[in-house]
Amino acid sequence: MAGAGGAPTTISAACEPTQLLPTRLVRLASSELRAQLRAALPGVAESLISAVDLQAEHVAPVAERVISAADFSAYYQAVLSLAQAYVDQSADAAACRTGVADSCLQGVLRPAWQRLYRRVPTSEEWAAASLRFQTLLATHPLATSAAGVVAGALLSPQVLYRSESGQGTDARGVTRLSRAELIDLASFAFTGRVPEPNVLAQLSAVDDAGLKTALGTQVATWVATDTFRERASDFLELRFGVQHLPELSRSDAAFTPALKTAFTGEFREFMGETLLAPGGSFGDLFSKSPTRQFPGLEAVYANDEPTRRQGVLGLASLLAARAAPNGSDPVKRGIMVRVDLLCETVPPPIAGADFSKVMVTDDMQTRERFATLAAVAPCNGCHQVINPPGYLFEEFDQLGRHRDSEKGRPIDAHGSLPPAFGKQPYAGVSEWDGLVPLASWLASAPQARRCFAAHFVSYLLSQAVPSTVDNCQLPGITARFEQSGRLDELASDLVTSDLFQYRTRGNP
Amino acid sequence: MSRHGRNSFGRRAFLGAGMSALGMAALQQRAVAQADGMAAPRFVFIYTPCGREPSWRTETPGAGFTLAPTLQMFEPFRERMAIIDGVTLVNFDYAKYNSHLGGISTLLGGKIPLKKAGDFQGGIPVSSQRTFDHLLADRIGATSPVSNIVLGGVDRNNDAGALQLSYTAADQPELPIHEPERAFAALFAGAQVNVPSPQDSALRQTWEKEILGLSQDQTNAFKHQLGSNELMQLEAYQANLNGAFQRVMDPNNFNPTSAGCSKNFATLALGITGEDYQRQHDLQSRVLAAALACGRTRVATFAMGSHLGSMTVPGSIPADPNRTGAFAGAHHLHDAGAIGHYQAFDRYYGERIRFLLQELDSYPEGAGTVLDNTILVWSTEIGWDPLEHDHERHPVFLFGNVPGKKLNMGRYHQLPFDMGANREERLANPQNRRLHEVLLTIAQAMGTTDLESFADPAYNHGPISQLLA
Repeated sequence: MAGAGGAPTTISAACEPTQLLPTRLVRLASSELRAQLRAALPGVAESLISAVDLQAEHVAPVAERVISAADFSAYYQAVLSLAQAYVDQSADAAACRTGVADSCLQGVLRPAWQRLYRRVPTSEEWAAASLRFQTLLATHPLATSAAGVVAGALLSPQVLYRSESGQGTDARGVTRLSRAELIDLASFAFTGRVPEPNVLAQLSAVDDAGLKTALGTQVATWVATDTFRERASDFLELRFGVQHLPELSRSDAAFTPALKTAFTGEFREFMGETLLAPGGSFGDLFSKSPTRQFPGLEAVYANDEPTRRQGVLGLASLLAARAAPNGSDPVKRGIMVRVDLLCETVPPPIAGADFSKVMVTDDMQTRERFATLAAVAPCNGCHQVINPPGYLFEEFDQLGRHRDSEKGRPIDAHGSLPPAFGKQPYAGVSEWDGLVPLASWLASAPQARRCFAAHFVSYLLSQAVPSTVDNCQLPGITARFEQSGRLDELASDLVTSDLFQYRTRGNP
Repeated sequence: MSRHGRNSFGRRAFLGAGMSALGMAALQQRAVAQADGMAAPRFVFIYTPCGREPSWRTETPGAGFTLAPTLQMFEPFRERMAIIDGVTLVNFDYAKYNSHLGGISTLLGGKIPLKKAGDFQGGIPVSSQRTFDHLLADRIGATSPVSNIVLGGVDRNNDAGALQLSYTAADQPELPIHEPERAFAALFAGAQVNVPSPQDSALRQTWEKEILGLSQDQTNAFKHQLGSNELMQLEAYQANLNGAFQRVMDPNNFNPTSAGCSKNFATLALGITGEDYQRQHDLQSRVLAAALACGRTRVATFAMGSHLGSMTVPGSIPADPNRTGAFAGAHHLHDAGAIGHYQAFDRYYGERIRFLLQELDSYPEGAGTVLDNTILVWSTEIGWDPLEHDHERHPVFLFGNVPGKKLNMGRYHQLPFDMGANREERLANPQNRRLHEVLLTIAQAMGTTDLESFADPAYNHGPISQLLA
């Protein structure tokens, strides 16, 4: 493999190598693998491709993509069928049905292997394949032998994994990814599949010095595609906790599977209208409102008060995802603001807290009940920080419906964002009424942008970056995004960064 | 990184030189079982979240134990059931980890977990080792088509590792398969309706042997291109390849399926009713029971819920409508409403597990049923009183038995437990017995005696004699 520049030269001395990701193997996500198989084995029925269903999608970090014994068993049987079908049915494989062994090997199997491996097999790899092919031919017909060789490739880790091993390590154990690894990483991160042949040719043609720029340019193209928008929407579902909607249960007959589907549709459509729209920005996510009421949510938005909603925080889908089964939940919603949107750390609940003397009565509103419980020492230490932003959402119930009153009394949606544990207060924060001022503040808060950027970078790299929001590499990557809020700029600055291009070997 | 280096050595050695020896041990174990006329052993670990309501304990230990109201559904199985009172978990350290996550990451482990960056108490624990289910599967499941499987329910919230019980290696969790269709597809992949002729079978065996040989060649070539981190990541996959190769090479095991083992998913789903959660749990149980009965697998872990999930069950709605639903909303409370909430979940899970027992009991085997040769361990990550989030006197339930009835079932086993001054002392006291010692005792009863290194020696006193018949 051609190097992208040999030994590392640019990694900043001020930033410890431990802030880089380690060298690693990245198993292709299930949909990525299917896309790869479609491209590499043309002419195979979609039903056979679909049968390849290894657990873990691209939203799962690398560590959660272990191929279990059960998944392997299913994969094993699926690839035997797939390989046989390719040789039996694909026009590309005709030479393995009717030709002679050598034309099958060189004209069909070798190109297929190259497509499956996303590179030219090494001489060691191809010699082994050729030898097994000859062995198979001694006992099996040509087509069956050829299918065996294709199946052998499909079971090989070269197909299932991408490597980020780099080459040439400096004294600090830092290595730069090879050109092929970089292109693979970028293409899978933004499109979920191997690069188109013309893109690959273009990126392969530039010299080392020009590769960074070429990758940045290519990423700008990828970010504008529907494929990327789909992947980014998946990330946004995770970021806002909406991905669990299909599993949730609510003690409310209106919470039907159809409503859950509509909620998901509303959320994704709004992402497409704001952050993921051409020219869209992070600020839009919190400041704009949906252009329409999503079909299926009419009952949820009946009797609504639109001026009390704004941005993603006002979506019924988000509010439903962040609620208790039978009511609003100021703690869940407060934690969403503090942990998920601002990357603060919140200590876990304290075991054995004694609530036996706490008077919680049936006529209390949700806020009153949470406030009463939260006042108990030692819980109050944390909940006086967690709950106040959660109270801002109190106008919205467990399905995200607006309400003026609860238990026959008006709702109190006043709240704030008090300083986090041991931290300075945020600029621009005051006592607020409802979620609208919080949304407006988040639209431009630098901390919210840094937090979002850290998680987005981790998502694209399929692994949490060391120190997450405090990673010393991040300021250089997120500087433009913090100003503009534009995802394309963040993406482009990521692929040209050391964090993207370098790895550490760490301790062997 | 260094932690991986330390922990991966044994695993690498096992995968390299040791694999064939282990395979031989597995074959020998099967041969011994067959010579004795005994069925092969099977193991199922069942996890339900957040502990349980304290009345599971009884003041009448021994054979005449009483079943708490939330355990009444097991009355028909009381002779094939054991309650173990007086064990705790790995000393994971309350100061370092969230009580739930510390428990979850060590339920099937025998050593202190590793710490990863995360939002919970500044760190998320992950297992520092290949967990017991995998280690046992290496020994008793190596010749079955699927050496082991991890199943889940509808509740798939794995935020912060809430469903990471089973690990193929340090920091490599195997997440549950939540969809019964996928579980079925995995467990019955390759099962054939028609048994091939010996000639066809031999040809097919040669074909698959060359395919797997080729993929092993490629794996070796690939390894030359990788560093130590990546080699460690490749281990679990290599183990899968080795396992498949071993099965293909075994003339007695190749094409093990017969018409009797061929199952149809739609047929299995017939008669499964109830709400979403119940339907999915019961369907998973039926698929699992069929697979265990057919020899498709011998080891399973079933994570029925997530402590961060949102499952509701019948009866979990107390008078106050704002205190309903998910454990996350109620399990920190300490009043009558919370107790009622817990009891509703305890009854629900009990009924689901009884369904699994009934399914296993519906398959005749030898003079008994598959249940008689399957040991199920049901536990949770929180101890005696879940409201306290501690790990003392952990609720542990056994069902079924191992072949030869070598476990002392039909009893409430009260083990000595030093309560010390506080929960930290109770967890740290090396004299208190651990769940992994129960697991090792079960392994020994199955004839698997080479798992000692799985547990921290400071917290492993050998088999728990009370549990052995």
